[in-house]
Amino acid sequence: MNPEITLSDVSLDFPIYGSPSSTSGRPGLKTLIGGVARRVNRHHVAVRALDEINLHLPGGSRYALIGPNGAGKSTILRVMSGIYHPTGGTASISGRVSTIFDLNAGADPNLTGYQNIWRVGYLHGMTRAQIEEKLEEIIDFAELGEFLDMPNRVYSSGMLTRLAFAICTMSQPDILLIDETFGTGDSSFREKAEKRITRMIEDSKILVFASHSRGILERFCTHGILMSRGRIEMIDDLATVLDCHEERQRKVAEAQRNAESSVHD
Amino acid sequence: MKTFNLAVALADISDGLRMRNVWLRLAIDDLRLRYSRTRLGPSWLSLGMVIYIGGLGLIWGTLFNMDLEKFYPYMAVGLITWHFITASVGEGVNSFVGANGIISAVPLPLSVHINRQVVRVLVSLIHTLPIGFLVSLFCGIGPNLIQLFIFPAVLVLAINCWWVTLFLGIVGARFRDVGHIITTFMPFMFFLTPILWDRSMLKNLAFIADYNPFTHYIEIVRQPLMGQLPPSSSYIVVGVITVIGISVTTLVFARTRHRIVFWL
Repeated sequence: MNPEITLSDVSLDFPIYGSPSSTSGRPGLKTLIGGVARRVNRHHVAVRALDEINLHLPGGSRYALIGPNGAGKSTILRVMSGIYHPTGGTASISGRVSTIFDLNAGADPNLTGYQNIWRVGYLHGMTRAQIEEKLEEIIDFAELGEFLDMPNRVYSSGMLTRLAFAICTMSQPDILLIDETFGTGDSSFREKAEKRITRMIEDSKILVFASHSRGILERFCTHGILMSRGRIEMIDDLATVLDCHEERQRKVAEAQRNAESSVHD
Repeated sequence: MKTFNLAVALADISDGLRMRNVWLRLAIDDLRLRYSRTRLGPSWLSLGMVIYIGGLGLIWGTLFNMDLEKFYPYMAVGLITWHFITASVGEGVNSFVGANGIISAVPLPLSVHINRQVVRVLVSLIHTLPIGFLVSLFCGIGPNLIQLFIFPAVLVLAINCWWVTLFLGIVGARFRDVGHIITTFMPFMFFLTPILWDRSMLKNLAFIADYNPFTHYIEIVRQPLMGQLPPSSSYIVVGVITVIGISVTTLVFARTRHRIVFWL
């Protein structure tokens, strides 16, 4: 089976319960940077996080997901993974999906590193045999030594990243969805991490990578999807999309500067 | 926009059951965390129950002039079953809310979180039910073959625990009052359920026990351990509730599965 992702007319309205704007008519709706908020009924407000998205990603796609904060990047990744179901339209995903959304998802700070490897491995759909096979590799990669037998809460944040990263990258999915996760870790680790994720990405058939870092996206992706306020604004070569995005960001920053200086005058 | 999808719900349930690795692991980790660095580990469950039964039996039995040899096993098994019921209901409400972090980061069948909860509650039943057996033995009951009826009874409890957890997990995620309603009313229900008293003691109020569904769940566990066959009416009531419960819960799940993640 050839993996592919098809989104047709996908919309997603987030119901927001218990927000202050649902009990009074006060502002709050207009200031949201994300999707467009609207009142559904007296009890809750809905934020339109995705608005009639049409997208087809065939096997072999390497897409960067680009856009300002609140554009819907994380939401669309969660739709592609099957965690969120569209409230309008249909999403069809075929192939084994792996997600790197939150490096520490599923791990528990009070379990030992070793216990967390098993726990997260199972959560990512691996079998006992698969985890056993990868165990050595993970232990080597994380370089945590006897810390593996200590609870995660005593780890430094760098150590946590090492372990989480090693666990998250142990499965071999058809479809790999990544939500900006790089950052911490010393430089020697970063180099190793990049090597490891490169291999994982190369083994996957479809990659969708949300990130704000031009450098990382240029390494791994060939095409770009530009999102804004829950809509897809542009799909093209990576460089074209990145340029367009940066140009827009520059204009926004300029407009803000102008607005600020006019206030001060 | 599809708001009702039975096929997806059933697929979720069967995929969830198949992913034994995941929910067993999560349940084991839950227990590991709850009893980490304790000397007794999950034996605390048993010890707690022994002390509770011992003390309550002594005071209550004396207070009401009960025949302790009959009262102790009656009350012990009743309490143990009641404990299972309150745990199913009380923890069921949080089955999705409590798994929020995993649900929104890892694509998994939602029923995995239900199965995890059921295992947890069953583990505490396994740590307490033998006490009921021992108390009966001590009071001169059995061991006899009728006591084997306890095994189908535990299976029935587990199945009911499953749908109750799923049902309350959904409702409890959407309506946050439900958890509080349950913690408010369960202690009250305890007094309406024949655990510390027998229905014959209520005289013309005995219908309170008969119309209380919890009574029948307790009967199918308690009577076999006391060496008697439960009344067939209890089996019928439990059977009917189980079938209705599973059907309604499956329909509710089919209607809400897509929305649950947004309610967490």
